[in-house]
Amino acid sequence: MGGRTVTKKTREKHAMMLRYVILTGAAFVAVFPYFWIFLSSIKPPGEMMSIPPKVIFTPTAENYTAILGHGFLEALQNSLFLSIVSASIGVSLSCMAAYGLTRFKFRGRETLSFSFFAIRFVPFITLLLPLYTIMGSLGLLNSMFGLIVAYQLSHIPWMTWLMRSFFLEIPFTYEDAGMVDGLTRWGVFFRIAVPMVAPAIGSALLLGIIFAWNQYFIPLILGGFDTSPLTVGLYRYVGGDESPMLFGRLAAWGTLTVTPVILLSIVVRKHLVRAFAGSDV
Amino acid sequence: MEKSRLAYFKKRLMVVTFLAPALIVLFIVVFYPIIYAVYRSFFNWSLLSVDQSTFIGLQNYITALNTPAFLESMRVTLLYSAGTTVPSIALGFALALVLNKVKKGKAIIRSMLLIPMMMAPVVVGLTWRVFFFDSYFGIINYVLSLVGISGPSWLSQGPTAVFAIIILSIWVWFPFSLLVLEAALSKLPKPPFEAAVIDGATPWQCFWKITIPMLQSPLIFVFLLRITTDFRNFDIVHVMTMGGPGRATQLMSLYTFFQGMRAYRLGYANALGVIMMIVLGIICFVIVRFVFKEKHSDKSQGGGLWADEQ
Repeated sequence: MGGRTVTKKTREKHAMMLRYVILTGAAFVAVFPYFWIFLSSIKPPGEMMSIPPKVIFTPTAENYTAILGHGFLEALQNSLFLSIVSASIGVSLSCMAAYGLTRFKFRGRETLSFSFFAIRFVPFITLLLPLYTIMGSLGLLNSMFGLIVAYQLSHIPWMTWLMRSFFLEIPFTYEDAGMVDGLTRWGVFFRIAVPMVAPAIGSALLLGIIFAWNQYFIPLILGGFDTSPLTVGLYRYVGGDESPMLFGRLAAWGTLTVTPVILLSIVVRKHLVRAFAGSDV
Repeated sequence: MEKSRLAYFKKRLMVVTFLAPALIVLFIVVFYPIIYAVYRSFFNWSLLSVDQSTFIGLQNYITALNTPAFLESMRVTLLYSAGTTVPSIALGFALALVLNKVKKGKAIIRSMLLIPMMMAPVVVGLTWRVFFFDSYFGIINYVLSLVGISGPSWLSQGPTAVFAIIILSIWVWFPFSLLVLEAALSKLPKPPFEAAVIDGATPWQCFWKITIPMLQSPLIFVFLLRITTDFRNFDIVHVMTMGGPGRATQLMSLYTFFQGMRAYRLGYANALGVIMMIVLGIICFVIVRFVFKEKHSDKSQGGGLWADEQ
């Protein structure tokens, strides 16, 4: 009997070791490219492409200083502005819509809720081509305003669905009590409902910022030279066919583009599942 | 009577004020563009001569279905979606099963595994093109050379280019299935598993007879989101191969983009966009129908996406 438990224990120990080996391997594969991009960004140009790859070298900030003169700062500004403003607007509108969808009964409510969810599946290109013409005729191409409005097509659907799932979780009783105490609907919304889902609002906002930051398709079509965020700016700088081999610059720009998002994603990890899935799966 | 009517009206107005802002914006950026795209798809209309547009009925759709480049893009899209969706879910699910069993360091391992998904696709595409898939300087061919294989020039031949974008997309998207399925796994009740073990079930049997059926809703949900993302994918492929070499990696969204924004055939491109939307709609419809069917056949499995729908 004693012998059996020992073998069972060692077997379990081996299984656990195997699990960690698998996970470490997977984590290495997941992280290595990021690490490699960063390493390439501080390599001196001469050693950038040597084979076998050099791991020991004197780091240089050359690539970072070089991109500053090629529109990096302007693109960074655009990215910050576009992602923060568009996500804030998206969260505000979605929060109100989600409240309306969960606190009032009306005909077609479930269908409407579902439509918010279904919009996520419309291909972007289907919307962006007509938007290009529509915004063009309104003079909104290559404008921050136009882009912020267009970004809502990726924000509002998942944000509303997410906030809806949070509003469904909090009991109505507090709000009813507020109504009895003489608050208006808006008073109840701002003073009771919103504070109760504040953490969720925070996560939705941060995730909205991440998604907007990574957005490429919308600004590629509707934006222009002055309104390019980091993603489009990087493509214009190094991605075109006629661009020279600016590998180090690409690595530096790429590192600075993805690092803030990786840090933010650790902050919002808790709500990441719900946001990606759009509901509590 | 009058008073309650007024109250009813006021309540109606309240709903409208909460919903209107979001709906107005969605009308501008989603519904109106769809209507406009459908309308424009019936015209022969080019950006090179904006003022001249002639109504040609369904001709754009007929043209599309008779254009080899379009049919090829459809084939590539289906191949790419099939090659990416299922393996990325399988990989994510396998890792979720392993991650679910460990305790120490779980949070940090999970954070590390999520990194591919959080990186901007453009950065991923561009950096992999140069630092990984390049035939001379790329890490992949270097590693292959260590074991005596001389790697192909990945992105300059059709089949290897398709293989490359599929591998990269799996790398980018396996964290999504991992994240969702791991969360679902950690919420599964313990008793069924304990009972099965007492009855002498092997882990393999437990997995197929208990885990899989209990995870049906999240699995189908992940499948729905993954296949739709792959089907309309643009970013990574656009920056990595531009649809090339030739048309080997030209997905439908890239073909539509090139027809509209490079060849300026807006009427035709809008028709392509509408076709994409319809095909994706059919795919979603089939999957959702399947979900609802499952849901009705076993209500006890609850939870998940449809939990709060009646």
